[in-house]
Amino acid sequence: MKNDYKKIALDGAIRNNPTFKLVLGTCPTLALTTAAMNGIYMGIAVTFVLMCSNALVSILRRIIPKEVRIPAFVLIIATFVTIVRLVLDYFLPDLNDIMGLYLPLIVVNCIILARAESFASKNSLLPSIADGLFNGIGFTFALTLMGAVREILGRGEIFGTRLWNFTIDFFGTSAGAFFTYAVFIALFSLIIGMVKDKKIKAEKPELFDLNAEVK
Amino acid sequence: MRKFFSNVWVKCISVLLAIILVSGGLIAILSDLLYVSPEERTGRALKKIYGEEKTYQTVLDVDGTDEDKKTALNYDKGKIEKIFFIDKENDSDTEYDILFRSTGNEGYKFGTVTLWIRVSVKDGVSKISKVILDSYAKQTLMGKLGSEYYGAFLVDITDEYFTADKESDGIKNTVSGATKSATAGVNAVNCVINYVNGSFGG
Repeated sequence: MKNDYKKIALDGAIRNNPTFKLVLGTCPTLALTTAAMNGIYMGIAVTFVLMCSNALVSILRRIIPKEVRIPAFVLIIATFVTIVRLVLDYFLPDLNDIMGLYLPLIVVNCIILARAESFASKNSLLPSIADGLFNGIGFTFALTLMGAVREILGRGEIFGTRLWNFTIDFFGTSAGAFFTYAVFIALFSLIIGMVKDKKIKAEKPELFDLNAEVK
Repeated sequence: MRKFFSNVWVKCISVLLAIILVSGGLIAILSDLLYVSPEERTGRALKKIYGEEKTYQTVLDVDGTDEDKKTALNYDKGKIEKIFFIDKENDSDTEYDILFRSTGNEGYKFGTVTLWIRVSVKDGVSKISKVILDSYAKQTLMGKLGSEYYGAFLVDITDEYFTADKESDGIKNTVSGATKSATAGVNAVNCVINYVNGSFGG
């Protein structure tokens, strides 16, 4: 049981990171990462919707007929996104303005629909909530990291605090977002690949021994 | 009858209808509980500008319906939708304090930038004393307009207008890489200058 949750956590946040590994939810990733703080805000909103929708989909998984599962999931996700919008507009209007159009767009965020379809509709309540939480953490981490790099290089700031006057305007543009995203995907694949190789090397050293006899 | 209810499509429609009814009801209740009235929105903007709640007299307040929007003060490159005379307090060192919500056109992709602009009048001289962003449409590089950009508007109002075009005469205020958004912001401020010059003669 403990191992199950460990696997859910590692898969969601690192091994199958929705942003850097599965390349899902690219629209807010590219558009909102001009600042690190935007990444955190968006990440928290997506994590909340992921957890709630996963929980409800998991509870209703035996009631929803498979023929209408996708429309049913979209309805559930849209409900939670609307709730997030209403709550933000009431309590944190500035944050609502910053996220603007990208907040309602969470409804069509592939990460949420993918987790509802591939995990929550097949698993019980607690693992589904955990899956939502860790995928959300992975998404938040990715957006914040990208936002931090673009904010530092594009504006010479981090979390709104000026570091230096040197800026590269390119990183503030859409092309800069694509470039940064590509670099992160490449780096992430490289690191994950290296870790996997190291693990295999430790478990089966004979595979890497060039002098070993071929049987 | 039993056969009808065991039909898969009846089941599908029933489940979808049930989800719609429950979520619709929940959203309706929350919308009612978390409703923010136009007055509250104005109060929030005032708090953001003055740091405290203020009482005010409404001169112009265009909000909501399309019919209502026609009454805004329209200029060539923007419009003023709200004007509030802020009630004077005993310790205030200004004669008048007026708050405008002005929208400038000609932004990126023909979008707009809406600003709250505070004008303080003292000894017959009108001065722009604070400019903050209210909202924008279609502007993707608004993050580039920082405190330096908004701070450059804080000058005494004369017959001179702001310009984001480096070649033009006037007070230049532009941001490299976001010139279109900067232009829309400048147009919003110029609407207010236009109004103040017309009403108070600068």
